[in-house]
Amino acid sequence: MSEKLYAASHSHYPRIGESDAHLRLRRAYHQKDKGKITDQEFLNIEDSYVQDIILEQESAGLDVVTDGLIRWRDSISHVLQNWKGVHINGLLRFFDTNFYFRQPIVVDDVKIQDGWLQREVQYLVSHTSKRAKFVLTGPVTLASLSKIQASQYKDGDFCEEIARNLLSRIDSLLSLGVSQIQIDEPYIVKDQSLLPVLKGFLGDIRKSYHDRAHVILSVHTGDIASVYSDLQDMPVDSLLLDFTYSAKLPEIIERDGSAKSLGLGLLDGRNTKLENKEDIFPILEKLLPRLPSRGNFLSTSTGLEYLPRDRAYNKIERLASLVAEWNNES
Amino acid sequence: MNLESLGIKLPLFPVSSVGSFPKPLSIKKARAQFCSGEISENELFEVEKEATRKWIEFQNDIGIDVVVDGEMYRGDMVAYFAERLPGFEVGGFVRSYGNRYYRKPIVTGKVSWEKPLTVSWWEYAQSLTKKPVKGMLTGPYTIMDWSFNEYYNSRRDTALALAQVVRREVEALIAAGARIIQIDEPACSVRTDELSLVVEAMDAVTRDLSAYFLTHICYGDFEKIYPGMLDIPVDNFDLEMSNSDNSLLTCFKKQPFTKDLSAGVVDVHTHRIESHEEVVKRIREIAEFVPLKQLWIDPDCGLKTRSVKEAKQKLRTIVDTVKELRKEFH
Repeated sequence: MSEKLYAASHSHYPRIGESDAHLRLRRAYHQKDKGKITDQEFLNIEDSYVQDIILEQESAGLDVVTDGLIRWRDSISHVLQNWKGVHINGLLRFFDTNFYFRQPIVVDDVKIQDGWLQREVQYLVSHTSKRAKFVLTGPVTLASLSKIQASQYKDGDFCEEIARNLLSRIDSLLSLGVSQIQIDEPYIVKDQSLLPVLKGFLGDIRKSYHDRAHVILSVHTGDIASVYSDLQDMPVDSLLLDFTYSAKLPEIIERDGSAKSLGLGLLDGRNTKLENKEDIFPILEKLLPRLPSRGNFLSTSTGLEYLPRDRAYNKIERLASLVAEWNNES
Repeated sequence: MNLESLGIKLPLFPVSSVGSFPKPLSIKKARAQFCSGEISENELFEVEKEATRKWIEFQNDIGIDVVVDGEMYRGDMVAYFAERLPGFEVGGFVRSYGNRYYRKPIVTGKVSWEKPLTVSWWEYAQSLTKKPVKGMLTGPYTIMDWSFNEYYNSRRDTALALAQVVRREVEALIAAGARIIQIDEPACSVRTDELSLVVEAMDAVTRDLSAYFLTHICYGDFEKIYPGMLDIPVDNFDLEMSNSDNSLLTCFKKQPFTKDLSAGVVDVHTHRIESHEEVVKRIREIAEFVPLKQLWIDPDCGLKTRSVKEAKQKLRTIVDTVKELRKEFH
């Protein structure tokens, strides 16, 4: 009998809904922009909103939760904002989504700031009784979606520079008590030339912190079939994969197996339609025998901010119930 | 389709617009009043008609050659159609960027066309000018890509079902007298693997219909869809050129642009009004790669994000510049 699956939040979660309570963060942004509330008052509202999102994931039955990346303007500029040598500029489309991120412009030697992400990770860890996952956009995606104007950075230099800076701060974040660290690298599907840099970065994380946190590499928003074998070489504990772009991916995994435990992103994080047992269980039956017996989990294909809030909740509730039913049956 | 065979004769470098213009305060106020029940739908309609009339008058006054109605009655380019078509539900809020959200439609049943959605607005606009007015529609691929789907089995099935709906609207516009019809497909440049679906769906919309068709595409990865995008069965591609500083011309250099081109020569995402010299330079550069008889001139995209004053200044700059260039090139 295979080890049981667990149910895990992917990463981001909607920060707006229809009710007054669900609209309070949006209103707080407007009030802050107009100077009607102080930074501290805004932070208090944001904190309470993050707490709601954590509770929502817990009440849906997820085993691993995130803070929904509620504080993030987007997955690129939030990570690089306030770094020395980086300006945050205009909007660009995030892959093929209808979501736009602000592009970082690299104008000088970059340096990560003190206290980077410390408070938000601390808040997450101290507000959940479940396993807390810290999500971080990886150096390949950050470098590739930035505009590099500083002449000292050629080819992959900037990616390596980001990796060095991130590594210098990860220790202080993991010491806060997160159970899992997830590196998101959607860009690796579009460009595999920086795989060696990514491999070195992940290797350093795992070497230093494998006894403290489970290291996950997440790849999404693109067809993973062509890079699946490369991903198997990455020094991580688990791979979290988006299954929605490739009909071939389940066949490849069934054929080649996986040496690493997998996060099965089988529930579509970008569509409101709810998957049912008939959609998911046949794939689990085929794939799980080809995976390590421990550490596999079910998730959505991407974060859920692309869905309306009520639909996102339905999705994680369904995710948790499918895992519970699978575990009961197996 | 040859324009002259449709009874339309245009000058060298016909000037047009992509579609939307900024809404005046009167519409914003009327919409708020309508939402709170202070005014009736008919009263809102009259305010929208008056705003449309003023934009037509402005286009007549400055000498625009192919007029648009300005879309005073539309909010979002997909939601406007989705809210009026059987088979759709209005979805909840989804974030677009920063603190901006929109309601993303959901396909929940078989989509169908019951009655014209834009024809009365086209007729009204055409009654106010002797210049041809473009029929303005959103294409089936973009409506599919920018909606959730809970009904059809695949993206292809959804796009092709929507193509039949859009075709009915095109037929209604033609029956009303429209001879120039623009079918926007801004989503087609981001998921390059689905270009063949865009072509297939557009063919289902336009095949054997007697009109001059344009499509507007913007803010995507053109290098990856060119020259394949020329297979989209339309007569004219309306492309944002100035936002990328005419970088698209590198594609045209490798492979000639074989259709008519509506070249965007002013950026719609900046408050700055381009100088006459800048616009001349852009047009001259484009004219090196596209035969003069195939070249139309317009802004990069819809002007609805600019203020009324900025939009008018940008349009005036285009018209004045083109008038001068016509003298030189004739």
